[in-house]
Amino acid sequence: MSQVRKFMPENRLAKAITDPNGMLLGHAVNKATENIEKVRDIHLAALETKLDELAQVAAGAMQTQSAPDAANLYRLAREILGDAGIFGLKHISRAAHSLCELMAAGDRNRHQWAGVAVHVEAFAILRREGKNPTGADLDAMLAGLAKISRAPL
Amino acid sequence: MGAALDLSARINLNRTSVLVLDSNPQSLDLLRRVLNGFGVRSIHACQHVRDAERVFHDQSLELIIIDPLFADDSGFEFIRFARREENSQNRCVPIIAALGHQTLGNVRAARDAGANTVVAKPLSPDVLLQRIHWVARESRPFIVAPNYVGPDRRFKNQGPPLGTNGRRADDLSFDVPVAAGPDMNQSQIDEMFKPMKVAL
Repeated sequence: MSQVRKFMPENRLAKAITDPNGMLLGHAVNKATENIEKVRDIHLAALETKLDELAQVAAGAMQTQSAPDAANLYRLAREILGDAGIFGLKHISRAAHSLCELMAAGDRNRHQWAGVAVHVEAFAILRREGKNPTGADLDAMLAGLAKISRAPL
Repeated sequence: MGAALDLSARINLNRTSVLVLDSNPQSLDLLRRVLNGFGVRSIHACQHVRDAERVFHDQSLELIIIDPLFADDSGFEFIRFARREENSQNRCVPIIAALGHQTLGNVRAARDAGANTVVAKPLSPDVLLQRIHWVARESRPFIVAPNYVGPDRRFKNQGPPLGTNGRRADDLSFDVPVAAGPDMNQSQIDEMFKPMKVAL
């Protein structure tokens, strides 16, 4: 039988929440949000560059259908999901999540490249619509993307 | 853990040293700014695993935040490395895995590598602070076993699997022993749990 050791570790972080002179959590959240807002423009510009890169990588990956290109596409989709979501660009983030699902599912079976093409086109539409697109058509499009990424291969 | 953040509670992260590891430079920058807003002054932001390993060796840390989804498995490997550094003062430091894509496989991989908790991206300051507050309050035992090193993965003690006696000294046996005396009645049980004033 294997040897298992169990002990209570010291949690040095615990001191942080027992200090009565600490910052109010509400204040900490506001400060963090302010800090993010200060760099919104720089990060949205970086996001645009990343969306361009995704379109390029996807075009190449659809040609080569190679595992490294697919992995690169998955990485970009994950990054766009996080980068767009933190600034409230929910539609871009949702489309990126759907592409992540598609790429992760493909990793287990085979990549559905037609689905990738639809996602790339969806990103282009969302970018044309601006920062805060609205409308039932967009919701329907995002729901459609989610269906593609969940469809059995 | 899912409870909303109590915004009237307090936290002092001024003297806390945090290691952040993320291969995405934008995400790394935002995490740094969020932590700075929380009052953390000592932030070691690393884009590469080898830099994070150096910081892990050289600094005394109170928290690690990592997106383990690197191009290879090196992000998860870093968590395993941190947990298995027997002589490191940072071995038991809370690790929050911030996942860019939280598939069941990714969440399991983070948990089984030794992360304390997982938070999904896109990160929001309130959710991240909630997780930091949670790991600061956490008092889970640390397990060192041949196949796993990290916080106890059993959140709920449901006993050992049916038909086994368990592997740990404090596992309750499945077999109920013969009673040594009469059962306690409800009032005796209640008495045991009744809060009473004690002289200090």
